[in-house]
Amino acid sequence: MNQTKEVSWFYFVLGLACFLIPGSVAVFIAYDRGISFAPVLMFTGIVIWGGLFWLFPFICDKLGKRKKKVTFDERDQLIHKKAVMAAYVVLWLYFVAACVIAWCIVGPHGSISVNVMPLTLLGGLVIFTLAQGLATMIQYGQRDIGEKS
Amino acid sequence: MNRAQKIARFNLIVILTALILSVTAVGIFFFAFDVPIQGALGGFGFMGIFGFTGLSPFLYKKETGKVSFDERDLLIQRKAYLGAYAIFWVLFVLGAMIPFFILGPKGTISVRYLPAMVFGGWFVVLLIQSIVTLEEYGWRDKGEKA
Repeated sequence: MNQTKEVSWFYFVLGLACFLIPGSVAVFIAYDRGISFAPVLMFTGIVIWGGLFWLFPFICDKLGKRKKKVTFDERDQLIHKKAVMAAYVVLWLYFVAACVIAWCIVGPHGSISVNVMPLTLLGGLVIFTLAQGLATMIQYGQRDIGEKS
Repeated sequence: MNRAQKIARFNLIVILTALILSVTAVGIFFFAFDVPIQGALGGFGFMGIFGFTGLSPFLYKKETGKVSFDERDLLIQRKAYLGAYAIFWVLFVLGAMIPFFILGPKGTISVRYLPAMVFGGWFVVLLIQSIVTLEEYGWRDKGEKA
C-alpha cells in the first residue's frame, strides 16, 4: 500500500469521525429535546461539510507544499478530480431521479412531507461518497500493485 | 477568443437576460398592475429564454481539421465543473433544509417545489460554470485561438 492509499484511509477515518460525532450529537439532542433549530442546523452543517469533503486533499496538498516528501502528486490529483466529477454526475442523476419519482408518485397537485428532503440529502451524500470511492478504486486498481510514493 | 470562451459568454448572456427579464416582469406585474403574487410569478415564464443555452454548441461549431481542445482547456473545463457542482451542493442542501426550518418537521410542501429545485440547480450549475470558465480564460479577447 503506498502512502497515498494510507492517506486516503486516514481521510476516510477522519471523515467518519467528523460526521459520526456531530451526527450522533445532533440525533441525541433531537431525541432528548425534540426536533429544534440546533440539531437541524447541525445536520445541515454536517451534510454541507460532508459533500465538500473532497476539497480536503487539495487543501492538505497546498498546506503541505513545504514538506519535502511528495504524497499527493499530479496523477493523484487527476484521479481525485476525475473521481469527484464522476460522483457529481451520479449525484445529479440521483437528484433529478428523486425529484421526478416523487412527482410521479404524488401527482402534480400533491404535497410531500418536509422530512423527505433531509432523507433525500442523506441518500445523496451516501451515493456521492460511494461513487467517489468506487471511481477512485477503479482508477488506482483495487489491489495493492506495489505502488510507492 | 476560443470556442469554450464563446460558449461560456453566450450562456452567461442568455442566463442573465432570462433572469433580468423574469425579475423585471414579476416586479412590473406585482407593483405596477397590482396582480396578486401568485399571478405575478407568471413573469418567470421569461425563464424559457434559458433554453437557448442548448443552442450554443451548434452556434459555435468545432472547426474540422484543427485541434480545438488541449490539456489546458480540459483542466479549465474540469475546474469549472467542480466549482459549479460545489456551489450546487451547498444550494441543494439549503434548498432541502430551508423548508424544514420554516415549516417544522410536521410541515408539507407542494411537489412542484421539486422540479423547481431541479431547474434551479441546472440554472446555477450553468451560470457558475460559465463564470468560472470566463474567469479562468479571461473575460476579454486576448488573442486566444482554438
